[in-house]
Amino acid sequence: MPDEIAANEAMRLKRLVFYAEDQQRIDAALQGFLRKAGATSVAVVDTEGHLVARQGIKAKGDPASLAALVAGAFAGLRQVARLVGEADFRTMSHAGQDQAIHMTLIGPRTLQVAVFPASVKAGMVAMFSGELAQQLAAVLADAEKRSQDAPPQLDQGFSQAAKSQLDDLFGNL
Amino acid sequence: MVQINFGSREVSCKVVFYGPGMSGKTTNLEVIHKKAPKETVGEMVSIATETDRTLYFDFLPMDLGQVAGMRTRFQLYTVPGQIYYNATRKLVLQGVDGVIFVADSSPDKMPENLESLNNLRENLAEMGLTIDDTAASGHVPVVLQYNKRDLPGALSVADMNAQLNPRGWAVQEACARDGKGVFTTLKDISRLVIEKLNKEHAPAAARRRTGANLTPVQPNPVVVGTPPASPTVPAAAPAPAPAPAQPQISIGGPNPPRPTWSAPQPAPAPAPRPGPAPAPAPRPAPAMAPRPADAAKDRHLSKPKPAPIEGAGGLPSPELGRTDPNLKSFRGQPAQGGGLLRTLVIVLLFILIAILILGALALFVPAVRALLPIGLQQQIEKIMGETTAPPTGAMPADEASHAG
Repeated sequence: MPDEIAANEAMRLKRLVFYAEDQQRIDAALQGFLRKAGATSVAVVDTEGHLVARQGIKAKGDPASLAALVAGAFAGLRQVARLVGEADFRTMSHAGQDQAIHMTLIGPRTLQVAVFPASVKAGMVAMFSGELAQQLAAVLADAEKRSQDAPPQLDQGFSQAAKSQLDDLFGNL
Repeated sequence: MVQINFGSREVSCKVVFYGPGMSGKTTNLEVIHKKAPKETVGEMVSIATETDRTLYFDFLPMDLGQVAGMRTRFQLYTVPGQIYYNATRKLVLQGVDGVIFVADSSPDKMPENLESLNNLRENLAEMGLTIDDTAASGHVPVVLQYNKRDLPGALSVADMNAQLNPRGWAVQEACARDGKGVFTTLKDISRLVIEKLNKEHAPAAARRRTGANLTPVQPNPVVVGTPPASPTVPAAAPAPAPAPAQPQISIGGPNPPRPTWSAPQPAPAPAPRPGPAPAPAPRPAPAMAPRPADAAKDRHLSKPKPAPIEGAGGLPSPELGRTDPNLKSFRGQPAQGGGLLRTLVIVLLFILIAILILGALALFVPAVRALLPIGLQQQIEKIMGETTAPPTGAMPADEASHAG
């Protein structure tokens, strides 16, 4: 357990920092995937439920809810994997009558989620998802290798502005 | 861990409502969903059992709008309070930025409050996080909400503080069912999370002295700081767990009435908002509104703003869906890579099969053979004659007798 805590702490402090070039690479990879696989939309989500990037046609539901539920589903699946002796299940697929979804784990903390019509071959989406996962993994690896000497900084007035905004929004509730 | 995305100018924080079962965590979220200005909250997602007990989590995204040039969002989660759902509580706690601990003010619920608080400590410790050591790098801010203050015989705040709050955390009294104390608690935790965020990402001292604004080292850095998900599933449930009923997932609306504590008075209608409530400008989308062009953001970045990246970042804005106007034409179509070659091969195969069929027909069907050029017909007849015609003048005896 102490080793696990130490590993968690190390990874927590080892922040991933993406720059414009990384983001362009991610977006280009997502757009390429959409063209090749015939998917409707694709998103990159971190395992905590934050939406990192998204491309494609906006679905009816809130993307934030999609990200939270996908992260929750994968977190549950990870525990199932451990119960059967696996570290992780790397992919998860669900097919409905009209829409289907394919999720792929990229490294320990990022997921990609493709939504596609049920008429599109799931095997083809899975194949191109694997290709996309490799591309995104390369971007993540590059970002991780980058020096963390100069973390990004928020504006000085951010904290005060946020408090004022909170008062404005909820002051009378 | 707070996600900061300078590319899309977005800050996203995760706040978790923790506490014993039936203490009012989901009620808090429902009140926020119901009473907060519509443009600030998105859809509420609830993964609950048939009896409306939280099975996995409730989720509500909240958008504060533009704050100092950054679109600031909070993701609000609840955990299942029942003791045998500890595995799912750990999953929801991953990457938490702030905790609202909802305690039940009933005297007989104090043991459950204490057990849940200790459970929170243990689960956070497994992730290298703490609510006690404010100096630790893994410190998570916490606000205590003493809920159900309208109960007869509710413990006094002093008594509850003595047992639950030796650290002197911020405390709010609440009656979540009536909406009292819900938003003050939310504001408290939001402030604490933002203060911690600002402290961790404050400009350098030299920059503060000169009053210069924020300058990212490279344009559009995006921070995704995520502690790993490595909680362990308990080997066995500590208590005989009743089998949970079929889970239900509801999105976009308040849940049906949940079982709640027996209050002495009938449930009053939610009090109207006092005072001149600020009328928020209606936005087209009920959920997260598109990020408006904000000239103020340029004041916070001294470097020239780079060219916008289409669909970059996690903004669920309508323009994301328009980043590739031709996308619809790809829906339901086969892959484009290698499609031309595959089509060519299929056409050639069809042509080959057609030639073979025509050849066979020409060999065995005289009517088809008659359509061919004379020279070709003679060639075919010659071949057919060589292979099928009997030798000349050698009619079999039986055929000859029949002919006679």
